[in-house]
Amino acid sequence: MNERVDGRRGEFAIEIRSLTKRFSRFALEDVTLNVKQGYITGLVGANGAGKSTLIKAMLGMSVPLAGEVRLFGEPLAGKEDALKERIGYVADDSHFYEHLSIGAMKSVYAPFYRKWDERLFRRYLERFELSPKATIRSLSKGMKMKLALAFALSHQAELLIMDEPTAGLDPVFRRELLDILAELMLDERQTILFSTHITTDLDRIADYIAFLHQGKLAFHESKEEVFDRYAIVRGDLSLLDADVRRLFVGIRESSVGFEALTSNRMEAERLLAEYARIERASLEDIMYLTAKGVPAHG
Amino acid sequence: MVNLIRKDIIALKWYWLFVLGYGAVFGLIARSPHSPLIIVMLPAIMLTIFVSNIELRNKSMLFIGSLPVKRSQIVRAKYASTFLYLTIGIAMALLMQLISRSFPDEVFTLNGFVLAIGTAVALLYSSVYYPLHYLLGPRNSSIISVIMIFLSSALAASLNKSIDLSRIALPSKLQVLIGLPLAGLVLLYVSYRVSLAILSRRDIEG
Repeated sequence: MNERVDGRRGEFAIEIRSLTKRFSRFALEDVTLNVKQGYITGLVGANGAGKSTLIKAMLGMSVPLAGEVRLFGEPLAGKEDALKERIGYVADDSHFYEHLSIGAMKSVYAPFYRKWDERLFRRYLERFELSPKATIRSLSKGMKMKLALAFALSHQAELLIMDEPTAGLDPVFRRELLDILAELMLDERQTILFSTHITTDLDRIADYIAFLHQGKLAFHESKEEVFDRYAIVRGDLSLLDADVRRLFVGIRESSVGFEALTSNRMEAERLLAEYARIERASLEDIMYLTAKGVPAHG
Repeated sequence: MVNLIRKDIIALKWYWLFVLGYGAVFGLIARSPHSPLIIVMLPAIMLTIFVSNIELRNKSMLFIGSLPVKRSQIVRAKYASTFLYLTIGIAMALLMQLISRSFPDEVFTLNGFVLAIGTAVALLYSSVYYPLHYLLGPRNSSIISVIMIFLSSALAASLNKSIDLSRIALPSKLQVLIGLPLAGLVLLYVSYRVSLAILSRRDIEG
């Protein structure tokens, strides 16, 4: 794991306790998640898994049925104004006033933050090649994302929450964004929560992975622990007896064999090493087989 | 709260010109006995609708919800904006009256009675508009806005027409001058509490 020497390690930037939020067709059920300060946590899950709902709860934008959100050790309820000043938020889409120029939008945004750093903002605009005179409407999706990032990074936020920031962006800017995040993490106090369904982004930069599946937290572990624990097993259908099936989180069977995901790599290796191919599972494998693979048992 | 009001002022951008334009039309070109009243209450009605439409078009509530503000501040800023818009309406009406003095044949009667009715209607408008806005969400607010414009215009016109100042004794006139705006203020406060209760239980949506 990417260890950083951090005096504040062990503290949590975000604590979500037993959060439940129900809609007519979807529910977040009893989610408990602690996001460690000083690390990048990737929040993954298929579309509709509840990532944006969870992020809105972190920002106090949705009202949970039950549970509590704490930021920097303090309950969010009743202290939204003070606590959110320490957060930089990048949404999955631009919600700025499209008819305004970047400069005018800055006049809207900046006064809300006591630690607004005008010089830093100008530097980000220059770096992202954004003109303050350009209207937001005239910007491409990638440029709007850069603008959102410039706003989020210009008030000395300690916690950066990004909801699907790379969705719909070209690979060049996606890579650039990841480089910026890596630079930010040089500051050991910085925490980033990064929701995405493009798992290759997280392979590059995440320290921790939180996986949401159908409104429930499937796991939240360090990236290395995830890769140590999970594995893809491929083999002949004749291997699939009840004991073997019990090893798997999800399984896909075809006429030529099976492909399965196990969350107990060691046990799978002990039982099947001689008969099946056992490989490192990528985050995409984990997401895919958990979401689309038939549950292997019960 | 000041920052939230400033946000709306900046977001309105050239929409201010519409309000000034309408003021000039009713005050200088298409004059009627209702012109002073329309000018007083027009900014409160128009600007409330414009801001809501801008927020709806840009899904800005998602941006506003991420800002370091409490829900109560968001609601309070909306209600406080009513007073700003009303002040603009009164200033526009005073300006039109000054201009009308240059044309002795033209009649533009801006008196305390008109101000009282205009204030009451503007406060009534906000009192009804915002709870519906928060209850039904921004998408339905545009429909509400259209209905509200007709209701406000009809109410203001009927009020102005049915009450003849010359027939009102001084105590009654005073009661109207103070009573109407006061009733509007009480209604606005009740409406504020209702909006606050609604928004505190609802998700912030774009």
